[in-house]
Amino acid sequence: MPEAKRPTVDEVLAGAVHTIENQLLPNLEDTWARAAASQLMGTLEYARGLIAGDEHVDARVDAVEAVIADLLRDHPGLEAVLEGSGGETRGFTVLDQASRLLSHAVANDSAEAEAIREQLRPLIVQQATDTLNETMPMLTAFGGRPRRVER
Amino acid sequence: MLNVEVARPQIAAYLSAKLSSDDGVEVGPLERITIGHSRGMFRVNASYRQGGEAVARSFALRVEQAGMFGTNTLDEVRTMRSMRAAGFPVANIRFVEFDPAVIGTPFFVMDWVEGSSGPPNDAALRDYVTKLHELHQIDWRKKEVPFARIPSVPIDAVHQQVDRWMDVHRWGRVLPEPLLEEAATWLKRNAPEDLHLTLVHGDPGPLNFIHKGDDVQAFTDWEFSHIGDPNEDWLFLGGMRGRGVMEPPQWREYIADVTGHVITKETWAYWDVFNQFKGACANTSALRIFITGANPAPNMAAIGTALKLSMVQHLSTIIGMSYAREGE
Repeated sequence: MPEAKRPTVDEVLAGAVHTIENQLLPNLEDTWARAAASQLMGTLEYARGLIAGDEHVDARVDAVEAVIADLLRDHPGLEAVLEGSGGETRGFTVLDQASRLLSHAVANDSAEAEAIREQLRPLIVQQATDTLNETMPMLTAFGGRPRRVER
Repeated sequence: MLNVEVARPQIAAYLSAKLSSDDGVEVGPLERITIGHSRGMFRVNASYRQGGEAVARSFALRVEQAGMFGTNTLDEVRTMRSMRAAGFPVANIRFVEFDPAVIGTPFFVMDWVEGSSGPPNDAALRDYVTKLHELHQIDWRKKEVPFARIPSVPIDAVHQQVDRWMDVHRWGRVLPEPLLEEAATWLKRNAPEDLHLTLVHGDPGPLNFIHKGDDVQAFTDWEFSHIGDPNEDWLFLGGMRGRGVMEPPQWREYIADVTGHVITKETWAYWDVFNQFKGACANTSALRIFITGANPAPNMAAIGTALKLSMVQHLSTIIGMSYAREGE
């Protein structure tokens, strides 16, 4: 296992959060500045989460792409829905296709629409929930009351 | 992003050129007004001599922030002046500046309105809801409304607004957001039949009006206004911005009690989705503003990600429930 350079990024970020909380915030009186300091702590906590996990969307794109492939195999008529979709990156293209499929399923009670709602939609909702949870430290700190730094 | 320390002498020079003073205008430290994220808002305390007499005067400085929420100074100023001309309580706009040479971004200067934008007392809240209802009663067809797009029929207004907010989202996004694209289609396909065309403020509720004692002094934050259905406003008030005052079911009863405007549960749910959609799309703009460095403040990162996603989660839950009901 590779040995990390010290201090690590996480140690630097944790130190920054701790410093804002204990040395800067107690000496800030301006309401806007206090809120900004709190929000900064939230973004730093988000950054800590990112470096501890996965900073890339590839795995999620893979999962969506696989479900779309299954849908197209079982319901070839859906190819027409994806005509003209695209993007500069693979992630953009796949999520554009997912967008078109979810929109196609609105107010549509066909078997293929049902399959989109049953197979694709739960995955998209779950991924959105996962992203919300990753970014939650920023939301928690948004109103100016950050949670205490965890080392 | 406006640097208030750098901007202070520039604002003083600007006001010196605009105001009739004997020997220039002095400006005290700019005071950040801690409400809202769409614009930078500051209190400017100016002092100068005029005809030998000392004058002390306060202004509100409203500074554009790189396209935040897909809105701009020109539209907002035109709307505010139009509403003021229609006799609605709106602050007087004294100066408008589009030249980036002044402070780097468009801004306008309003006469300071004395009062508070904090929690209102019961009478002021009732006055606010009454006046919002009055806004919806204005015969806008007989007024000079500055909106670029006027819907021809009520459903047209829904489509215009859904498209407007989707455009803002697409401007700000990094990747497509399938649940918002789905919501756009859902909103167009599920619009209530009993729609009306009125003036819509677009962002009503606590913090977006100034009150003094029992009375509303001014409606603020007009950048979302348009012609549309009044329930958009009532749900923005009762379902989003006003939740710190009371919960949505209480708001629904309160609105009916004060104005006589009754909103069915189905209509309430629809406009709840609409406003969550609108909020999520608008908030996406903050992501672009943060990433490009136009405003790298942490509130932009939070608005463009977590705050937006919390709204996406809310609306996708309601849409998912509608699918479940259809399947029963």
